Amino acid sequence: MIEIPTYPARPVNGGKLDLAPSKRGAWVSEPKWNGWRAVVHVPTRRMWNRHGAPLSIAKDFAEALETLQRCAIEWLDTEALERRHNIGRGTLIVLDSIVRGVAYEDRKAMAAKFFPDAPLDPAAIGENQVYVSPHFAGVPNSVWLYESLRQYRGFFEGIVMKRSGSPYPFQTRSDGKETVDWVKHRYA
Amino acid sequence: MKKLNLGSVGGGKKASSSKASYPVVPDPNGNVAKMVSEVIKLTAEKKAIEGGLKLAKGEVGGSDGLVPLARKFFIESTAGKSDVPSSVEAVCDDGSVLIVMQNRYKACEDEAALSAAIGKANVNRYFYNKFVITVDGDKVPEAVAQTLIDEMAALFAKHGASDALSAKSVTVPKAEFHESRHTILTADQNAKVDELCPPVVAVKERKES
Repeated sequence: MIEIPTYPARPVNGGKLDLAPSKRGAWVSEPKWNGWRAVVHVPTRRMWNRHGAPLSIAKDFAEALETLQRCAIEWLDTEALERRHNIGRGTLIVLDSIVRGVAYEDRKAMAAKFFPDAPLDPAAIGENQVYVSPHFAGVPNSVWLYESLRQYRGFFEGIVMKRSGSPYPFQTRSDGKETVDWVKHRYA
Repeated sequence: MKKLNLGSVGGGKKASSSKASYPVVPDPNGNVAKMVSEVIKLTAEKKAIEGGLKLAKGEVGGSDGLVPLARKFFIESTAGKSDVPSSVEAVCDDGSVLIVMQNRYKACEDEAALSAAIGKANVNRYFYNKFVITVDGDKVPEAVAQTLIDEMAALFAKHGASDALSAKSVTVPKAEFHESRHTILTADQNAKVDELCPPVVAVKERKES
């Protein structure tokens, strides 16, 4: 029986970006997708939710899971689209590659070898696709991204900021344990 | 280290979600709206501040933040000493904070790794298998509750472990009271009940769907 190697990274709730204290160090920003968090075991096409429970919706993502077979990464941290807003039916957004001891930017590059960056316009998101969640370095870009995506509020919930160079926070202690290397800033 | 089998003891929660409309609190002079606005504004600020605090403090084992920095200093500066301070202090121009090294630990998930790190002898000497068994009295049939309690007390006494049992008895409403109270009691009576048995009331911002 396969067990997930970690609960998916749970960001600290940083509140609204415009109210948040400034952060020290280098940070990278990604969209916060409004979907279902899913850890994917690529070889077996199996999916787990953020609580580590097996997901029964894998059949709805059969094409995307098949597309994932071209990548050499065993475990992926993804967001499964369509169930909340009916955009991007059957599409998986790769948030991160779940590998030990590899810096954030290098993990993103691993996935980017196989899949394109997701467009930031919801209308351009295809069905049954696999995209990598795009990332933008630096604080000015985090503000730009946060404000740019606000018009698509509902599809995007805000942004997630990740500490540059940080490893994937492996932990099986609790699905509620947060990592201070990831911070979410939502619109509400 | 001796392990106890707690296999059949446990439980789970049922998730629920609902979207409903609720009666709106009257606001004849606009005071309610002002308070609601204040709650929403302060809640947003609180979230942002709490998130910022978590980042500034960092976490044990992390690479950035005050806690990992202080913990590293504490461990290195106390190595080989028996007289160890309970805290370290970090200062700035506006004041200082104490980083208190409490005698409280989260459970170790990987005993094998712990043994590899500090040796099995140290694990056996300084670690133990801690357990807490909780009995949810609400799920024990009322008719057998007293018998069960008496037998449990006798069982623990038989094994010389009476001190391990602790119990607290309080008067709380039955589940059906919450719905029934508005038909079986008057408004005055309900106000009195609120004084004697205060309900838990949460105030939270309603999210847009």
